[in-house]
Amino acid sequence: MSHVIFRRGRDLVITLLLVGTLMFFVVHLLPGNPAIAMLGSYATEDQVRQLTHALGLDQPLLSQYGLWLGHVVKGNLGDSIGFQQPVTTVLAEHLGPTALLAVASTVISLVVSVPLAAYTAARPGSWWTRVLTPLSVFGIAVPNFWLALVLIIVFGVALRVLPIAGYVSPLTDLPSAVSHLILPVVVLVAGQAALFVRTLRESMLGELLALYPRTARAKGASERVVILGQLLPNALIPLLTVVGTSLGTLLGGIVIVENVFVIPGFGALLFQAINSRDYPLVEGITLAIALGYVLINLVVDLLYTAIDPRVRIR
Amino acid sequence: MTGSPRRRSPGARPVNHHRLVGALLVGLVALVAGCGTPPQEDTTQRLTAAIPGDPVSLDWGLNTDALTIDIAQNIFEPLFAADRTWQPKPMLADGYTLTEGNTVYTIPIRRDVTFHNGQPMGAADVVASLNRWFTISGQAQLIKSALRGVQQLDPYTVQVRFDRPQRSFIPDLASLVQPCIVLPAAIAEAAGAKPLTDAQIIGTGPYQLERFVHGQYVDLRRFPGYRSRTEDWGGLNGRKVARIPQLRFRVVTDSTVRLNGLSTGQWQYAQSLDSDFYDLITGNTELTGLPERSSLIEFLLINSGAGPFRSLAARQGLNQLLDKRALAEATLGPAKLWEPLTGQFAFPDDAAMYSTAGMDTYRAHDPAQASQLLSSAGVGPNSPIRILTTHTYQNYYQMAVVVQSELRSIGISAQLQVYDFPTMVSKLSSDPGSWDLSMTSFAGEIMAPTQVLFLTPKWPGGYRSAAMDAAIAQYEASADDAAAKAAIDRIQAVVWQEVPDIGIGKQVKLDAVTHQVRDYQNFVGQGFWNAYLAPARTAD
Repeated sequence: MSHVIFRRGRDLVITLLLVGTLMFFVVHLLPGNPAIAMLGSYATEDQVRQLTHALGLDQPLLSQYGLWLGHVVKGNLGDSIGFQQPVTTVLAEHLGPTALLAVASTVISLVVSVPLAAYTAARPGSWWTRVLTPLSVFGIAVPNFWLALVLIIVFGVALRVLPIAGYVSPLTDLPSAVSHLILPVVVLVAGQAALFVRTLRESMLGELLALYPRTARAKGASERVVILGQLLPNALIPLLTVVGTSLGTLLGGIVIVENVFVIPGFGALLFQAINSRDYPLVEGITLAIALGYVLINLVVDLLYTAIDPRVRIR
Repeated sequence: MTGSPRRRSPGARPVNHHRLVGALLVGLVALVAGCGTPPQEDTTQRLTAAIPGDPVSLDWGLNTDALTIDIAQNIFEPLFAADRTWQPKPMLADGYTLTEGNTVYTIPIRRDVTFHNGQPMGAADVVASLNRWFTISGQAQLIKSALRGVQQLDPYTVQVRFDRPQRSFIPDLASLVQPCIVLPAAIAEAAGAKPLTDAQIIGTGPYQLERFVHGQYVDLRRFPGYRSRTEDWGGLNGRKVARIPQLRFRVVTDSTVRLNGLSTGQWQYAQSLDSDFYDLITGNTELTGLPERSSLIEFLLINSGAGPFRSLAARQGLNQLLDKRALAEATLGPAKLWEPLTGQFAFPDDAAMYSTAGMDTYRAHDPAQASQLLSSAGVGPNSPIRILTTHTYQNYYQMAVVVQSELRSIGISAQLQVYDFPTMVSKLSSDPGSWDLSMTSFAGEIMAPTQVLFLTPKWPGGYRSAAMDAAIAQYEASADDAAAKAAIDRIQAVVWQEVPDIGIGKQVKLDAVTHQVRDYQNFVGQGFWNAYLAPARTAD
């Protein structure tokens, strides 16, 4: 196990180094300049030059890279140019809303999708299955910004039962936090749950072709025991992969949903950082997202072994 | 997909799925009902304004963007500031005297002013703020070469000496963009050319910064130590009373959400709404649309420093080609939200700067003569015009398409180069050889020709002209208002003759407020002093 952890740790460092380096040069190659963002579009060339110098952005790119890398190795991601705060502080402030949204929507999606997938796999000809199958296609196909605007108009503007935008931390006001989260979570669940249902259903249908369900039934096992006790665990691995990827993507920033619902998460932050050419912040966000992806993949790998002992991490 | 066994094992009890689904639905309804109407705070105590973006900085002295100006005018005050007719009037100054051949400004300052940190304002603070202004302000750079020095005469008087008369000095101190805001001396000296940090946002205005959560909101609260002027000057000056205890400027990037939040009472002010919403707002009795009285002039930016439009004939030909009114109609939204422009660099209500001298040149629209002029300058089908534009502001893109079409109508090829806005701005200044035409907006209410950015050196486009330099020098040397007005007429005539840029129209930004907001002065940006909030109406 220690060997696995060491190798994964090594891979993590290499991944972060590659991603960080690539992103450093990509953002610096973009036209634009943080000084222009800070001074505004009516700033003169002299003013831009003066501030660029004051910010140290007129140094050769390689020496800027060396400086940045030296700091990153020590765990210092630098200061955000726009926020005037350490990048780590900015990231910590924006991680909470995104993590809450991502985890809440993933958990709810799982809670909704597992029974639905089990039901539709067990009863492919039933009325509910005929309704749910195209509905899951709709859930995947519908653009989330459209669904968000429809929900805002119905529940926020017409019925006025839910706030249309904003974020409240659950630590400060739980009921208000829940009311602010309902619409964005519903938007995310619509797409995610539909994907989970389809993935799990396909996987379960595949398992149904195997011999062991027939053997179980022949031994007198109830249909519920066959479906929930034997088929479902074996069919979970593909779902786990999809859940891991989906969660990683959500943690990486739910740009549209966060912008529409005015949630100060990673997506909105990344959008803002790129627009203002806040180099240290873009690099910090990218590293954080890469770290999140790698860690989630590690957890998914470990869960594989827990679900199916035949799987071994090498 | 293959079929799957549907056999139920003997004795298995059927699951009541309908009951399960019903329970889930009841749970969801209960959850929504439990949340009920979003909690409403006492809406007479805090005004929330939804703004379309995050101000990068609140440093009004340095940052030139509207978002900064909109918020910071509640926090900072300049030495001089515009009144409602766009005339500079003393704000923190107590007037000024001009001596020694109009080269020495002696400026007494008010004695009752306190900074937000509790420190009284004195001449040392004003000297430090003036020194910073001469370092960072674009307008100040234009007159800095004539500056001999800034000094404190006594604890409440400062003196600024020039080598030669500089009529634009006082108007430039009061400029809407990069005015001379007064800071505590220690802060002004520490900040220098860098933007003020949030901790350095210490002004003298009716509101002080409470919290700036970047990317989310800016909270201001009433400054209890504020001492107002008593004059009813309006604009950015005169009597100011912070009647609303707290202001929140909340970043809401989506225009639809800004409107929806206004409709539901989540905020009371929404800035920069889509012009398509105009009818929706005017049809809603709870809302009032506020076409901003002071707004921007949309300009076609011409690269006079490189490429085909270095030629005066080419620029004059372009002016003859473009039907400015049609261009405005096609790009500036509903008729109620733009006004045709007669080409001035100032609006008619800005009497000191407005001029119609030589207007016929601007109005001329003759594609045949345009074709001749452009052809004589070597502009034709084999020399494509490069139009730099952006999708970030849709009207810029539409303007580019219309200009491309008009050029093609006389056989001149034109290519669009479309980028995001930061890239476009960067290319305008850092890559002047890469474009021929572009788009920009300028404030139409100015107080001196130094504030007309395209006339200033180093503005993208590289316009240089001996005739213009002479006209501006005439303005700077003018001893009285009549002489200054004559110089303005001359400058305007040169603009139309030499076509550094082409004004298209005044585009009015559409803001909206709920019925709660009263006595709001719709001037420029969101100066919320003197406004108050009436209680919200109860829902039916």
